[in-house]
Amino acid sequence: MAEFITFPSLAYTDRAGLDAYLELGGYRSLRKALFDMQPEQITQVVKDSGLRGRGGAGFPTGLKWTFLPKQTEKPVYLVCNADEGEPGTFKDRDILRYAPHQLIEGMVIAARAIGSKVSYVYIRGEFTEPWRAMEKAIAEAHESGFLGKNILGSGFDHELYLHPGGGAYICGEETALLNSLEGRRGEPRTKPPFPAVEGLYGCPTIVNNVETLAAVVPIVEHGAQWYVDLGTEKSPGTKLFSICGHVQKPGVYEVKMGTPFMEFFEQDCGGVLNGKALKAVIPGGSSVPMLTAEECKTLCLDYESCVEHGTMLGSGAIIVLDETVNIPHAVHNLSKFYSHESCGQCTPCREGTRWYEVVLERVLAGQGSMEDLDLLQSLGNQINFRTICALGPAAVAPVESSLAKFRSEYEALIREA
Amino acid sequence: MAFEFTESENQQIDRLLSCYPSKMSATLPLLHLAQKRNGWIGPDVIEAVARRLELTKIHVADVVSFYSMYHRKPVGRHVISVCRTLCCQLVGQESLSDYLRERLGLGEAMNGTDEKGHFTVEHVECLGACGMGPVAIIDGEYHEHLTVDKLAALMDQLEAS
Ligand SMILES: Cc1cc2nc3c(=O)[nH]c(=O)nc-3n(C[C@H](O)[C@H](O)[C@H](O)COP(=O)(O)O)c2cc1C
Repeated sequence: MAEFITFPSLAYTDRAGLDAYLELGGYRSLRKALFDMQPEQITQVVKDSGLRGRGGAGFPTGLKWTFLPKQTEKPVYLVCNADEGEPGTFKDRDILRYAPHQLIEGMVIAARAIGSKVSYVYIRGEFTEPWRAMEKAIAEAHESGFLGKNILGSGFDHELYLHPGGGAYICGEETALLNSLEGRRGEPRTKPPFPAVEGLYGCPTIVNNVETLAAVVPIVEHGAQWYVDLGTEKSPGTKLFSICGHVQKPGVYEVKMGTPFMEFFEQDCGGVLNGKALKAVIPGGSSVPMLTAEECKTLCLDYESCVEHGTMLGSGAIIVLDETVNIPHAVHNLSKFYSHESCGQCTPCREGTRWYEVVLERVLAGQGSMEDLDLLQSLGNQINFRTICALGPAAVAPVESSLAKFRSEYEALIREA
Repeated sequence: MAFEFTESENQQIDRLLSCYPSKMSATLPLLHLAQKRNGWIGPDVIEAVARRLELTKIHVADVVSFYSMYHRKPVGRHVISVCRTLCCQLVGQESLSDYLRERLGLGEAMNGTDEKGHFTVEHVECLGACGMGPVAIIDGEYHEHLTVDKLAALMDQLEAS
């Protein structure tokens, strides 16, 4: 059964305060990181733990930290990505609301590892409740000496600030986020240079997801091996999964990597809502290819198994579609999302996402033709690898995977027209 | 009257500015602050923000137009932002939208303000609370597991207050 191992505070909804966090053993890792470890040792333990970015791309966290220039005159920034906007994803919101101190602790530890004196948490503008929880936790941490000047008497200084987004999914993309944090339109930057070299205000910057940074705390406390042993050889540790759609018990669960999907789905989540049959699952947020019910039978919740099944673990957001769902209808909903959220900077994405929306609208309205399906099929080639960021390719995934797996539903709409 | 930041807002802005090495970084926070009191972002707000941050008006206007949380037209007394993205749609968002259009007399339009100026409805993309759908933000706060009955009761309450 799923249980909260590395995010103990998430078992409660009313213990976000400092006292409750200290009772759970909070800020022990910070002491260890400040007094018993050198910065390189912190990075090493994170590397050894195999922790991968939980924001969607799954990049090895410790390795990312080593990309910072060894010597620099410039300040180094740590930025926490709390823009959480990938449809299906709602785990970071719970960390911010219910475990804010774990995030702060993880950020100060990471800041020490990378030598950063200032960090920002970029919180999507709509998240007012998480914002207040973080604001309160920051004040508490300051008062108790876990933040600010000379933290716990160690000589290490760190200030942490909150920054609000303005309602734009694209600002979850790390370089768009940096532009937004600088007070500009949230348009992604071309890479290289990567943020580690030239990020916020042109300075070396590490951007990590909320869950990634919070996961550093148990890793520092219990060691890399302990974390590795929680998961599989290639996907160490645990991961938060948010599950929604047609599921009996939607919510946020901590799952050991490698857990069979069906076991998790049936035992922890109670299976399909109202006992209906399963039709499809989008396992990693709306931007990854969908799976049929049949494919789900052999799926395990880890990076490799998802790839073997032709999809991705992404942000760990599972969207469940039952037998009543008309797949083209669902895909059209997502296409509308991507066309609205494309920043418009790259023509293939701006035009391509719009075409998906328009053509699918036509098909749904009973005015489609078989050629429209070919058109939908061909657009991906004009978007993939031709854009600055991954939003365009994200829009391709639901369309292409559904055409491959549920083509008959599209054809039925055309034939019945 | 043209928008101006109040004394207490100016103090808040001073605190905000101390968080960043560049004034420009405070653009989004200042716009939020202004919209909170003013309801929307008009040319006068853009000018006030630009002046306070020593930016050009065109820069601020350009930023405003990029982000969907900023209202570029006046809004009603209460703003309801309904999530229209897949996860909410799967669990009943469309019935909420139908109800809102009907109650506010919006016809076929998805977004708009009722004649009395009580409510502005807008449909927005994923709000990041997908397991608690359908979700809407009403005057800045999340309302989860919404039903038509719940929404109707909330709106009655707001209308009466
Ligand atoms: C369109 C788009 C949206 C994204 N949204 C988010 C997001 O909301 N939260 C997040 O942490 N990462 C998001 N990412 C991934 C970030 O670009 C980046 O990989 C991540 O913040 C790095 O942190 P991590 O290594 O800890 O995962 C998004 C990427 C793209 C292309």
